[in-house]
Amino acid sequence: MRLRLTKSTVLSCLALLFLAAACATQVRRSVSQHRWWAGLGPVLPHESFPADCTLCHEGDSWNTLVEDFAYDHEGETGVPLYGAHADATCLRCHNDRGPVGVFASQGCAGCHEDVHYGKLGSNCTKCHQERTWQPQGQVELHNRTRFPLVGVHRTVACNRCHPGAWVGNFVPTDIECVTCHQSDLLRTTFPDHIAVGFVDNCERCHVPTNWRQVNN
Amino acid sequence: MLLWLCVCCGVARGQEPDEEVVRLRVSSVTPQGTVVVDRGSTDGLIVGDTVTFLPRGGRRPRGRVLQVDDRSSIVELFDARISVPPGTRGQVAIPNARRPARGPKPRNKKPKQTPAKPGTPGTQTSRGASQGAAPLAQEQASKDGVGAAQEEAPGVGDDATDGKAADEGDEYDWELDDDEWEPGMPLLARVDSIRPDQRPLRITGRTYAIGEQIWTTESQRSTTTFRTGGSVALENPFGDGGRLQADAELNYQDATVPDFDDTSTGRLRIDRLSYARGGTRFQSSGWEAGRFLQRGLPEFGVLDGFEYGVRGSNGHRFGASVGFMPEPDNRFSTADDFQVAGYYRWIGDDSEELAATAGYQKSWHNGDADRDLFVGKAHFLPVVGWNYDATVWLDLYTDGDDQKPLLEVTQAFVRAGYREKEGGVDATFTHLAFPQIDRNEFRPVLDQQLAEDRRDRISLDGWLEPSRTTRVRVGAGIWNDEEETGGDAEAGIDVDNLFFDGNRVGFTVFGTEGAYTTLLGTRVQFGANLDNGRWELMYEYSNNEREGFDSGNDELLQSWLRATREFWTDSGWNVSLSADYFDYELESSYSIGIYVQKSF
Repeated sequence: MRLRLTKSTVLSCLALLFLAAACATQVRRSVSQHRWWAGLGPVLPHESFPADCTLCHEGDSWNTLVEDFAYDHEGETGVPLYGAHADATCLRCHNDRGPVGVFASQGCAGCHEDVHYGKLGSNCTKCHQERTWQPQGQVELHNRTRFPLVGVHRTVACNRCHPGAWVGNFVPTDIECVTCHQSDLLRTTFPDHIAVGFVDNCERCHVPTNWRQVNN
Repeated sequence: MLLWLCVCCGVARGQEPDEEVVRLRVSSVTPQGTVVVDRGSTDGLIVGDTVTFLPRGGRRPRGRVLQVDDRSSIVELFDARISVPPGTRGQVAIPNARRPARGPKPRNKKPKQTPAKPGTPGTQTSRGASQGAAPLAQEQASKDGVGAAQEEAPGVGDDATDGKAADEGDEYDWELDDDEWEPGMPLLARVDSIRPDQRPLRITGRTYAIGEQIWTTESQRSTTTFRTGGSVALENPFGDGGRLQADAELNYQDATVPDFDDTSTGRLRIDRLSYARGGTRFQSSGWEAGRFLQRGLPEFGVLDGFEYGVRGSNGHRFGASVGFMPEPDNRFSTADDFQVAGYYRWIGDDSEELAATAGYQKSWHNGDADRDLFVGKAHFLPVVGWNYDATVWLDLYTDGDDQKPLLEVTQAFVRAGYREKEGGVDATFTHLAFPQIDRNEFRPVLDQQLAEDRRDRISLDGWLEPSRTTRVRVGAGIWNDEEETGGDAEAGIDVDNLFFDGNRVGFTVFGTEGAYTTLLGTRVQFGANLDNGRWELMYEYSNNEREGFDSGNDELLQSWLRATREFWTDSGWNVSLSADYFDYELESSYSIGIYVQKSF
């Protein structure tokens, strides 16, 4: 399977894919008739709404809502909205993708892209809060791993150990000291750790209060 | 424990009440301040009944029925200073004796008008609205019995109000029949909705700034981090229903470390710049080009390229992508890794409660074959009961990948969860191993680590709300890697409104047996929710015993104090401030942080 890629191979593949995509888009596909994919009705199902349309709609334009429009999402649907969801416009969720119930049942991943590439699981609210999506409680959660953040490790930025943290890529990360402290090891002079063979089991002499703290 | 949680989550059903709750809405507000509701004598209301209104925001104003008509009533609020806008829901409890007998509903009379011919949106709307209202009332009636009063008025209010109104209700002359409407369909099902390419340009997004400064008492150790960025999405910018999206971040970090050279980095990173079309209910196919996170399988990562996907008539989806993969770090440098990928997503039915996806990604690093990755994921998410989801990364190794077997599960994530109003439980299994790849995706590891290192963890987390103000949390996990086994446990309780309305007090004890540390600690939190934000104080104390340290001086006590304050406004501003003090015996650290975000 060691296939050497050349420019011509890449370009040929690209051309073929483009051709396939172009052909596919030329075929007029019949839109599915199930549920309301092709029902072409309003985005929001209205069956539980009051019969007085003017409570929400302007009389001369069904697509314009009244200025003082308000909607009790929990009362009407049984689904409470928290944080930023409570302030979002209806179309952010009830849009052209399809029935919102299908996506809502999938939790956060139904609407939000998984910027952690699926590697951190599906329980987003374990780390994120719903108002700003700002992560919180990371140190506490880290205590429940095999590498609790002790001493100076708690004072460093995440990306010092997880270089991909800037873009949500946290794993895999090795917990051997030398993985992060290799440059420290190479620069030791008193004693020269490499010369005397002190290249592993750092925890025998060092504690994480600071790197200079050693066993007497 | 699961059994215990399930038992506790079960709610004993109450006995048949002597009263029945009639739900209603505010139709309008009179200049005098009284409100008109859409229920009347046919629903069993009489003068003097007490109505409870349920507006958003939690207040529960009440009022008294002043005047009753057959299908509406006028209500005077007990507190005239409170306003209840039209549309507000409410309820009134009436004795069962005042309710009409239930029975089959009489059929509506034959329509007098011919329904408008489909094809004219305006006429369809009118027809749909009026026609839908009738079955709506019937449907609602069958659900809550209210409509029974409307349809079978004889006897209603005979002893409470005059029966004339009820008789009139029985004679109500519906103009149209529900010949096309069926339960489950939208009320205005035949109305043409606006398609994406007919919509006006809409711009949404956010901008943010994050700052953090950490100092330590250890001389010359500090970290400064600053990030600012934003994302913007333009819907239908070119009149073709497409979506243009851009995300970018400018960041700066300066780390000062004792004895060594300082490091300082600053980057402008473009996380996304893409244009997408289709993939909506109107278009079964869709594509996206530019820099974006792959839609079909985000496990394949960010792509500088093109992705095409199709939704079949049975709801199944499939697609393919081609392009370069930026390296997943702060630079997002591209052009070293080229990939082609494809996926197929199967669904059990329209609800997509049961779905499974399989995908394959082939990548090349600087022109050389690199990774053959298979990803499989599935979920079963019924509305009621246990939920399951799982994802597996399977690497195929061929010539040259001598550190690995032919096939290896390099990552797996399996979760089973159960939710009730009063509690829930999550069981999770994760597996991690280093894949043998040339791509710069993680810090370099030794050959031995590549061959042997792995980590498996299984955990169980549960929560229970024995009352509306109390929440109990428990969690435990066991991990195992190539060398040893450890675990962790945590238990806590949160109590709301303990000292005053809106406050929350939390208490947690936790312990972990890690690879280098065994710790035992406790955490106390005290905070409150405000109208425009929240604040919280947290204190944590732990004793950390170092594994493998040769001296007896291997215990390290840590204290951590944290204060946070959050603000938000209706206009979309969010501000979060934090300050930390952390003491780890010989040294201490201080940090402050700010997070500002504006959504638009």
